[in-house]
Amino acid sequence: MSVTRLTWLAATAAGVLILGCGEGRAIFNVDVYSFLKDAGNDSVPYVAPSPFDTTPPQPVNLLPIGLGSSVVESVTVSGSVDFVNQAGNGTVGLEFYIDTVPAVYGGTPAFSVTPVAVTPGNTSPAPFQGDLAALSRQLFLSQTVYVGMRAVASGLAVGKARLSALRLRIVIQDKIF
Amino acid sequence: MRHWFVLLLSAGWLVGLAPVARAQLSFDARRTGMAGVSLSRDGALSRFNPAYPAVPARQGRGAKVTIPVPLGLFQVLKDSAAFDFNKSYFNPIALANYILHPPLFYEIKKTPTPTNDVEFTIGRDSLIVDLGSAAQLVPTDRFGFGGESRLMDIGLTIKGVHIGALVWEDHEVGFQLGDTLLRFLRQKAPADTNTTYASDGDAIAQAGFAPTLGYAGRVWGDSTRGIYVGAAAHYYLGVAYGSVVGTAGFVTGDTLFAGSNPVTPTVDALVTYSKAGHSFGHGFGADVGIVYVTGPVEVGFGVNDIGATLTWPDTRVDRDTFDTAANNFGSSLVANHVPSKTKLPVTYVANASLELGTNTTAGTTILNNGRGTTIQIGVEQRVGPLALRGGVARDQRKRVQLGWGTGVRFGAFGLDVGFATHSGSLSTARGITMATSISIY
Repeated sequence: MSVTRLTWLAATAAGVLILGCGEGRAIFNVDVYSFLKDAGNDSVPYVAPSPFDTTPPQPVNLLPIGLGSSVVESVTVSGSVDFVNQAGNGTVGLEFYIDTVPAVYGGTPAFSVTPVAVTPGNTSPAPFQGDLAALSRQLFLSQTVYVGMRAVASGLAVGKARLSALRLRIVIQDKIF
Repeated sequence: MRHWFVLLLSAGWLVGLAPVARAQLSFDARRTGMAGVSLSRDGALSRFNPAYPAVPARQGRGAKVTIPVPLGLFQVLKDSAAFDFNKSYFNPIALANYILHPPLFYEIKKTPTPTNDVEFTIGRDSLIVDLGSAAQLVPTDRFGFGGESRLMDIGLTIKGVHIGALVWEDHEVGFQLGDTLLRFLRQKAPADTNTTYASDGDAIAQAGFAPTLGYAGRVWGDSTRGIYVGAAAHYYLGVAYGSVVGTAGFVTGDTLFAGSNPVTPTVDALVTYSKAGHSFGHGFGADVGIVYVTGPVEVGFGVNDIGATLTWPDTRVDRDTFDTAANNFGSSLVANHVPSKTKLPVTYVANASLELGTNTTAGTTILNNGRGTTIQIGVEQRVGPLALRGGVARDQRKRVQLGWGTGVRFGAFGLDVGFATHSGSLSTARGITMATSISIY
């Protein structure tokens, strides 16, 4: 996106934000799943105990409001993942990596889904909810963040983790001036 | 830094808006207490009715000088929400309210400003904006502001004939949100793909000076019962002018939050201007007025800027658009060295007052300045050195406002306090202003 267009969109979005500011907060409800699903990155295979597979980092575009000096008060993650197990027994979890650059897998996961037990031929749903680590919150002041998933499995199991929902609720104390 | 900003802002208002304020906002607590009505044949009426300079002042009623006591400035200096730009509690709406309503007087009840959360719901193909209670601030009708001011009127008056020159300025800004943008902002409608979200807007600013020849005098009757007429012809010389008319907004693409171009700006505006130092705009305009006084009854009617159309002989017209191919804003010449015309809004004022004979005076003023009609009704009851005042008004936004106040006078000095409700331009709730002023009779 060009700088000019960004500036235009930023001005529009900032104008919207100004209308409701004061001591109020800017809250972003981001349907991350819609970005992942459209790109075909909503599932990740696992073959325990082999090295874990990852999804390609998926860019998620936010509003270019220019929130650089704002403070992200909280980021709440909620969603659901189905562990579709083809064979074997074990436990499978899921890790989410978030960064402002495509190389998301270099650091620690921003959020982890507690591993659940899987059995042959069965699908194990795992709803999840929690707060994002404090270190990852400020990433959401960027216009774009990259999201990656890694399945973490133990035992002897083959299958895939299929995301069915992933939402972020980002609460920002905005300072756009 | 903040204090300097406030002082500069206030100085600008005092210099730039004083003529307007005398007529509409009023620095006189007596008028504030009567919802804006003037009962003293002062400059507020003379501004719009050229017959009034000939009408003798009411005995002992008109002040030689009225000095506002600017208690509001102290209040503004303490208002961190409007001027502490870097603080989280900074509220630009509070700042905007100060700009639109000069804070000379003390606000005993501030117009509440929205401080709610704003919620954005974002998906790859969805965007919903929930402004909460602030959504009510999104104007559904054409929204605008402006005013025509006579910043200075200097000259000489001999036997009712006035020769002089006035400095004038006129500015008007208006916009109207398009249906899609209105629904998006006010009704939380989800953004659609391949849709235009735009607003129509127009603005004009012009300023100059006008040599003036006028007359005001009594044409019939005597000092207790008579008809007074006044007229003034102005030859307007415009120093500079600029106007813009067009549409601005954005167009969404096939997908809202994917791809390289989520939205494309759309701008199409016609900009016409004549810079200062270029050729003068010129045109004629006239003010006329009449006042009938018979004992305790007084009726007046005045019209300003009749036929005030300025012709600017050498203007440039540009068309500003967003060039999607070049991906930047571009301006192209439509015409140069062409004439264009502008108008000053015609202002009508009608007023009446009645001395009831029990130390009670009532009055009303109806003013239409091209941006809506205001109606003010006020009454004053004098009891010895004390005066009690009250009034009701309908403002330009058709909202009912109230005024009340009191004053005390000792000889040549008077101290007055007036209270008036008002609705902020960016809020539907009412605030209450307390005006204080000292008058020398």
